[in-house]
Amino acid sequence: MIRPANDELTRWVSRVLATGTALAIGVVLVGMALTWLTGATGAGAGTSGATSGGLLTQIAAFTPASIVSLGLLLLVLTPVAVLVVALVAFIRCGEHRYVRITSLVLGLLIVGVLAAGLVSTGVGG
Amino acid sequence: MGLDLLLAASGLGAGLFGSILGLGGGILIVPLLTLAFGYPLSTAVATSLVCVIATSTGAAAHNVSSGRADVRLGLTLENGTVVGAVSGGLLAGFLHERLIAGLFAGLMAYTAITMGRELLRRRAVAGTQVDVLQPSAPDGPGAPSYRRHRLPLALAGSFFAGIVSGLLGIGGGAIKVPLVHLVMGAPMGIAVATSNFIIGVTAAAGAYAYLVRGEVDPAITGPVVLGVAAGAFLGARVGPHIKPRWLTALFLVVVVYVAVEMAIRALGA
Repeated sequence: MIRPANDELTRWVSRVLATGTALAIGVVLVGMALTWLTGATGAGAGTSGATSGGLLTQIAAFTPASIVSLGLLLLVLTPVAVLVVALVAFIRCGEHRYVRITSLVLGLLIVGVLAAGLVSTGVGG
Repeated sequence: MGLDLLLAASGLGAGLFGSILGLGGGILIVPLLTLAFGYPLSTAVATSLVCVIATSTGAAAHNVSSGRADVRLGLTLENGTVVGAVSGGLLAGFLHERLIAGLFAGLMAYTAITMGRELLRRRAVAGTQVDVLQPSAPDGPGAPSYRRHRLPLALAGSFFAGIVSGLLGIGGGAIKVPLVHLVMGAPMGIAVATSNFIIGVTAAAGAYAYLVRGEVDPAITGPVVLGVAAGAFLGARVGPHIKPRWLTALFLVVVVYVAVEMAIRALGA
């Protein structure tokens, strides 16, 4: 149970968390700044930025709101990236019990993400 | 822009509160967006779920690098949660929401009593405050040892947390912090940081589902997320300086609030 405080797992996971969050928040900030500068639709305009066309339609529109959506997508994908990196670190360190544990969490999460994608495109009903 | 600033300020408060107590902040964001800003509940829930991830990742980068969040314990307990969430989804048609809410209320009431007794005990031995937020904890030398024999019970609790979060849309941190602290025996600071780390993983699939369906409004979620991320960043740095006893007392207030909320839901009032 006792391990070095700054082991490979800790370093990798914290780096991915910091980078993913900074990147996502940076993109959201750029989108919000463009919203304010261009006077495009914002919360202050009292209109909804949500679309019925789904996420890809929003991002492809390349408007300030779509840049915000891209940032939110990066934010949501950060925990998935953390799990991938944790899995690689456990494999490299030979911690087989945690390889199994992380694989199960990652597997179920990916199934959940894929199911959400299928449902959104109508494939899954 | 004025409304954006108000939304960001609300997010800042929720992120700070959530990261200090190991919660996603949804118990603040949803009422704020619906009651104070007048947005529909569906919009508030979608925004809240994305903000849980902002709270988690914003705080966890610091918590993991400083060694306060126990990544291994968090991932182990997450197994129970994801299996519970999937089971909850499959059993949704058979489980009565009011029954789950009643069980959840009971669990929160028990947690409140246990935490309250812990607070009273510490008062009785004033002056012997344990320094639990060691920089090297939980993995370094001198780290607290967990009650490893209670892992099956903690996994069962995580499983229930998964069912509850799937059916009631609440319960991540409110269950995980007591599980790590009261069941596994970890200090409150480690329980908070570990919960903070793992609730982002729990929320990811649900948040992605809302996002990919285009149900997350960027005009509302954008400013709230910016505030939440800033609040979580601050909270992860302020939290370790709060005495564990105060953390427990603050968390106790949240647990009592959730217990009352769930009891009302269970009674159908």
